[in-house]
Amino acid sequence: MSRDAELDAFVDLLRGATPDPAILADARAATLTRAGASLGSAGGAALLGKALAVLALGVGLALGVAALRADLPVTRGPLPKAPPERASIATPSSPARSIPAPPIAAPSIAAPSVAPERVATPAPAATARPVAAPVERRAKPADAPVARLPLQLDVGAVPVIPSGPSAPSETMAEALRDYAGERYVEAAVSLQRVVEGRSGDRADRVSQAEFFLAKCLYHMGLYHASAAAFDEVTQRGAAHPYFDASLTWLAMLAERLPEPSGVIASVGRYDAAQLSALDRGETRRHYHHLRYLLGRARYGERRFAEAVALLSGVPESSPHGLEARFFEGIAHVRMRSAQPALRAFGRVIDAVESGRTGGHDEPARMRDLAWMSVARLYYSLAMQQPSGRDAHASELLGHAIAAWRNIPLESEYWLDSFFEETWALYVAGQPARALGHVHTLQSPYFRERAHPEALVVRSMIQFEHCQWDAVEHGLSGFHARFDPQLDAAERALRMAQRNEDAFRMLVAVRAHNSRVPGPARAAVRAAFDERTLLRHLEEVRALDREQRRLGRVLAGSLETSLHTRVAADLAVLRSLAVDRTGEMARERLARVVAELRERMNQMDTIELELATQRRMELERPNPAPMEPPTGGRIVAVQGDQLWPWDGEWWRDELPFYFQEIENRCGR
Amino acid sequence: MGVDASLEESLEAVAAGDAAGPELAEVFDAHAPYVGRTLRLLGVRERELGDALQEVFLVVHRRLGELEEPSKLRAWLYAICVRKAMSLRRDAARRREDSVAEPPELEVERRTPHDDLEKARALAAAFEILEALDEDKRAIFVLYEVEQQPMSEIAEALGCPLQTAYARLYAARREVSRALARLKAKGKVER
Repeated sequence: MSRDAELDAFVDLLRGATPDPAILADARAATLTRAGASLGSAGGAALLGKALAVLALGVGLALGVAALRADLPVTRGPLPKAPPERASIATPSSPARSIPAPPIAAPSIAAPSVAPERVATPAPAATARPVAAPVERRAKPADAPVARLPLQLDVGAVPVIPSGPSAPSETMAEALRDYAGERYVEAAVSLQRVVEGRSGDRADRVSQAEFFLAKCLYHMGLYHASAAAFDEVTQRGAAHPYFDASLTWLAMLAERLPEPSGVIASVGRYDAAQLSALDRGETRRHYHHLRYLLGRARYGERRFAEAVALLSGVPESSPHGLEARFFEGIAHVRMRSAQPALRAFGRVIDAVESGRTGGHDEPARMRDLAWMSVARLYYSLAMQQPSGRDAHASELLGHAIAAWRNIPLESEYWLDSFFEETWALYVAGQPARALGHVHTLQSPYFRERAHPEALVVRSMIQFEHCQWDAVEHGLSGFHARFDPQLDAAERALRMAQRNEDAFRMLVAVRAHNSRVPGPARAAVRAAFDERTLLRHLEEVRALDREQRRLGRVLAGSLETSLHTRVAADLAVLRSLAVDRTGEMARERLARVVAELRERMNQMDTIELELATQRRMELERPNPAPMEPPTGGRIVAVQGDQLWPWDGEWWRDELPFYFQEIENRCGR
Repeated sequence: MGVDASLEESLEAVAAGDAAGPELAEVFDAHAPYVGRTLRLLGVRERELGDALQEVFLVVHRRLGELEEPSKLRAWLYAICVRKAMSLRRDAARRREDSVAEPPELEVERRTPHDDLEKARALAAAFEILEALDEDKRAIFVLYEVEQQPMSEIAEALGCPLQTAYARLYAARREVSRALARLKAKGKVER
């Protein structure tokens, strides 16, 4: 039996340690009796008060309860509710229609600040790194305060010993010699001894050892462990003599790690002035990278103006230039500055179209994201126009639609942008094109990425055109398809109660061997097929690889405290990464459920309105004859060519379908 | 609706000022098995369990009105259990200073039919392993591994950062694994 299996068996055994029912029954009776006595005493003995009441229960209990009360934590009050993902914005005045009012308002599509889920989302304000390994490893600060060491910019092998340091111990001196000789494993083993205080070195040397240990781990290819070690250095801020010198290494680590959020947290401890020391010569590329990372950190802290100032200083020639510009735009959106945001997104698009990508490895994706952000921004602006400004709102909607259309069919953002455009077309009073979009979204090409909301749009358009039978037909089709899916998605969510469970589900879904109930499988897979989530999953896998690498790199030093420390750091980092990734997966799963419930509610609203309209029809003196739900003719319009849809979807026709719809209102 | 959900609704109503608190009996019935198991895993002896249960629920009785987030009732109960168990262990330690070491608790095993003997012995060994863990590590191990509570809630209940909670869990797992390996080597645990 493997070690893990033994641990599992151990835990199973403990889970079976439920107390004897007889003990529970006795305790229940005694507790209720004593609780009753407590109430009686407190009510009847005003003069002696609680003291007598407690005495009535026995001195032993009184002591126990008092001890408990002394430090019992009181659960905090409820957390403030998170703001809604989609702000409720009043529906703009739509083109004049002598039709029943739509049962549901068109949504405001999330502004780019929250919308681009498929781009690297801003890192949380502070992603903590483990610093508390279960082994004692940091020497206590020695007597005298440590003089601040000069900025060390070298990233090479030769250590710089600042002026006036204390004499190194033999262990430390040997460690430095090993480092200079690029014998990083040997150096790291010795440095860990210094860090633990086993060498007798003074505080300045211990700080130096911490810094060099972090560098050794980098050279050993243990990047997560190195980031954790640098995190310890930077947590002490400028009080650590190697705080400034760590900056360059953080930039290099960010290039090595699949998920830079931990490094962003470390970089966030610096200010722009500290970064500027690197703005010269061969460190300039690190400087630009660090500006980008610090901008991301400030964005995560909601210090948007500072974020913009930092990000705007990252030049186009930097590999991070496109992302810096994109986040600059997003930060402007968060500050509600539409014009600067549009300019920033425009610069991304222009740079990619002109081939000035700075060596970015996915420039087309950045361009598509920028177009999507432009579209969402215009749409949001259109939805915010007050009544009486219909023409301006229509113009803004036109810009939004044009922006969405710039995203090519082969883009990973095409489907979402196409769906969002559907709403815009509906609001812009182009029902035939909106219905054509819904038709496209129902094609077998996108079976795995269903957009149930598209069916809501269709039902609303049909409702507005008094196509009662078509609405009814659509409602039953919707329920037939999505009721089982909602039920299955709710069951899947119950299977992922803990972050760790959700993580396991994510891994299984990615490996196509999950136990997610069938009807929800495609929706869950689609929800999990998301860049940020997958990057976090990759982070866990990278940690697994690093744990294996640790065994190889330190194969001859398995019994050292260095191995114990790094193994503990990696294990804790992995647990945190699993926790974070699982939490994200569960949130996405919960979003699938919430979205389906919301669509159900919208369809229920339409159904109620439909019943009202049906009743009114019957009450009219000459009710309109029942007509079959035709749904209207569908054609693909490409230029001046018109192709009737013959029951088969063609990929090159997907963006071009129209569906005619007859207005039966007032007949 | 399950007992827990119903109880939670009652507690929410109290928190909202809409109702009187749930009966103590209701809370006891819903959570006594959990509290009992938790106390055992925190090192409370079988013979002390009845009293410990009473005392935990008397605290609940007196302080339930202060619970502002009913959904965190279990974490709150656990915090009470931890303090009760610590208090009992402190008392036991004081008693040990005045007397010889307590004999291992084998009464249950002696009374157990043969079929259950192996399990009872394994459980006694498991308690010994848990007993050897520090308070902090044991709390994390029990809550996370045995009670399967989310780590974020555990960290909040125990008042420590998430990363510290994971560091303790890692350390606890390692110690338990080593203890299991030692027991296996001695032939005390055959599974």
